[in-house]
Amino acid sequence: MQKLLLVVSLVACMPSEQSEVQSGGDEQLSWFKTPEEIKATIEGYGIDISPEDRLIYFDKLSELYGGKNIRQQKVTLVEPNGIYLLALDALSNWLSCQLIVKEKTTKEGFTFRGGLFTTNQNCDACYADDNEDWCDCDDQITLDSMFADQPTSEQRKRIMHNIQDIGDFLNIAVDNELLVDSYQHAADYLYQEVFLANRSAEFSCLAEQQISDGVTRTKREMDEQPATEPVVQHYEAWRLVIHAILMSGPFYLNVNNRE
Amino acid sequence: MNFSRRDFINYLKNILGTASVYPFINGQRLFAQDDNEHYFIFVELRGGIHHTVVADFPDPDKIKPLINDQYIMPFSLFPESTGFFDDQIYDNSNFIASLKKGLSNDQEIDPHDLILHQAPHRLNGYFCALPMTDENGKELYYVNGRQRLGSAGLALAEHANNLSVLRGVYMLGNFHGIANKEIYSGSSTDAGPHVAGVLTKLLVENKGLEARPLDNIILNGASYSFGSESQKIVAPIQMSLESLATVAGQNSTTSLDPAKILATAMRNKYGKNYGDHLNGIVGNYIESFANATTIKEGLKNIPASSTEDIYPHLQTCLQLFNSGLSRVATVTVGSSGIGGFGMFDSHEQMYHGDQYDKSYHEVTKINITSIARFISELKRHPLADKVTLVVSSEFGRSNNFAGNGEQDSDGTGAFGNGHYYFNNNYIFYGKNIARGQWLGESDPVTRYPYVCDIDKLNSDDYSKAFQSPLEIVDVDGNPQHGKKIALRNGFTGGQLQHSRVANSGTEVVRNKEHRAIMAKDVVRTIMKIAGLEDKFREYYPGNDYQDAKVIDKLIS
Repeated sequence: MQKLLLVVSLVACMPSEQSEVQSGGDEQLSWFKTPEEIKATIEGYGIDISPEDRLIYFDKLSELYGGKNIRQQKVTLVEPNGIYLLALDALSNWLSCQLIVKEKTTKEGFTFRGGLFTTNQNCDACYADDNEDWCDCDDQITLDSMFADQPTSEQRKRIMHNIQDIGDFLNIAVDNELLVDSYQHAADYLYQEVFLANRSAEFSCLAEQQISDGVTRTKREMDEQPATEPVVQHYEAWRLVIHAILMSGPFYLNVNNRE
Repeated sequence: MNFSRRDFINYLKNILGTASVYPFINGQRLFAQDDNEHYFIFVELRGGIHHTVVADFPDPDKIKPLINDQYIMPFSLFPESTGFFDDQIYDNSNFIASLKKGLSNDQEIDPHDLILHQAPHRLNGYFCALPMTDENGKELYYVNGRQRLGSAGLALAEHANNLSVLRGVYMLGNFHGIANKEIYSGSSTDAGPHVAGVLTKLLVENKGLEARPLDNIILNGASYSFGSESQKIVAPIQMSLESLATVAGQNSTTSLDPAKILATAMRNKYGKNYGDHLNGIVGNYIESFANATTIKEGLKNIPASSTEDIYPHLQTCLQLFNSGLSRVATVTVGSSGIGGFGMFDSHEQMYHGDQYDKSYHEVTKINITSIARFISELKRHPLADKVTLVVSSEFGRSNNFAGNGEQDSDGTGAFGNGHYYFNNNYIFYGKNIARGQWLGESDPVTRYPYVCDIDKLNSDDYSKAFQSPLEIVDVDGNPQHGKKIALRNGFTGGQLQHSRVANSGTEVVRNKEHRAIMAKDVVRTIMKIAGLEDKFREYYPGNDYQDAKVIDKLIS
């Protein structure tokens, strides 16, 4: 099932020939995903977009990521500026919430396990071996996996691999070849600076939406009756990892421009 | 005794009220303020019932409408323009009697609501102009002209002596139609750019002011004219208030730093495959992280939702100015999206569409009241002497016009207030604006603007500046005043022409010796208000603009 969804998402990421994107006169510049493509991708994840969210994140903001033909609009695809980036930030925050909520409510756990090239081979030995810095096989991590205050070395490598899985799901290679200064690689950076730093944070999406037993609560409902659900460890950490990956850029690229 | 920041804010709240505290506690200033700083807010209220601002009356409770047959004039409409209301058209005696009774009884009728109560919009065939009188029944005047702009504008009375009004501005199209471009560009055909884009550019290039990240912002679908390529204005950032609130990320504490670091790593690894052009875009994207953080800081507490009330939009403009994010803003309310209809438009069921639950008159009152409230706050704001506010609307529109003169395809509608672009009004307030200058004349019944000699208007010979109203003639030049006419959608019906100004929309604007004040004059005046009049013809070079004149009386 998860592989099928992954294929669906990949197909949805293909550039649309009927895109409304305006590229400042250069037709070769259909580079960032258009709102239509982003929407198709999200629907490929099996995520329903509510009318309210559609209004806020696609209709109201669409001009800021190139989905509205506003002639000579200062915010353009060619020069993605601060306000453009904030529009993507808003969208990424929303989407990361949706993915976490989807993961919580999908029994199979379709999002965060099994990257593009991950085998089902059990390589516990690799994860347990301190001499192995990177293991590319099933990490057994789920959204609800719990860790001690200081995860073990083995758990660290499993989490890093799961970060790669998330990247794969978003068609972004967050692997041991993507290097961040002073860190061994990007997954290690995200593990230390995003995941560990936020693993006890309250799941911020609860302020906007909570799904319990298939019930969705609106923000207004939440305001009237605050959530009674206790802080869910790690959810916010995973969400912020997703946010950082989404905002790194390539998710908003068309796949034909990628390596 | 410790006096905390919270104590100070509470103190301000007690003194000034909650809303007035807003500018003091929000919008951290991110840029230094230049002594020569000049901010502009351009407001467009699309359509509009007539808003009265009465100057110099001591007690608003004592004013009342002037009761005079001159101001209640029956117009019989062409049957073909009113359809199934034919049987109501030619017997209006009961309505006239009711109207006069209502007008004469101020114990029963609130002057604010008089129009709504006594002249329901479906009673086509009549309109009543309601000049105000003082308690002795004397019609109210002020400085340079009679003040008789509708009832909803009473909220502005307290500022009447501090703002200036230009009445009787003739346009070529209606608000929410082509006049949306014309009101701040002087042209309905993209011949010239919106003055906001010009000012945004020239205040930096010619006045040496610092460029701002969100310069030339347009909130909630205000209209915009770009002019020609050769005029090269600063392009706008067009977005809704909801969009601004969303990108401000009020509900998110997400740091952008990890994303920036990861994006940089992505470029380092994959950049060579992007190609130079795409790599440049990626570079811009990564650089924008720092800018985005600054913008986000300046957008704190932006209202998350817009309403039919323009107040949060004006408040947001002030915050954008105070934080240093913007210098020039254009604002409208009521459009459902970019280029949408205005909620002040009132042909059918009082609005276009059914998304609003307030009456046309109520919404007008809300917004005029909000503008008055904003001016009150602006007076106390640290930027008070640096902001110029310009409000434009189709204020001249009166009740009981025949809608657009036509039925809709479903057989309903078309009854309400028709387009009335002959008599638009501008309100000016703030930096470099004269105080208490009320300019312009319009016919009290037809509301047609007077022909204006602007040179005389700029002299002290005001009385000779406005000689007579535009005449209504048919296509053969025969006067139609008082006859059966279709007060419909201007030229489109082909039944009316406006003598002395034009036989066509294009001719109206060119080289007429006698014409009404037009939007191009307003644009040139705004350029002078900004100290940039010498650049007017550079950005507005066409024939349409060659006779545009500055109305000096509006400038302090």
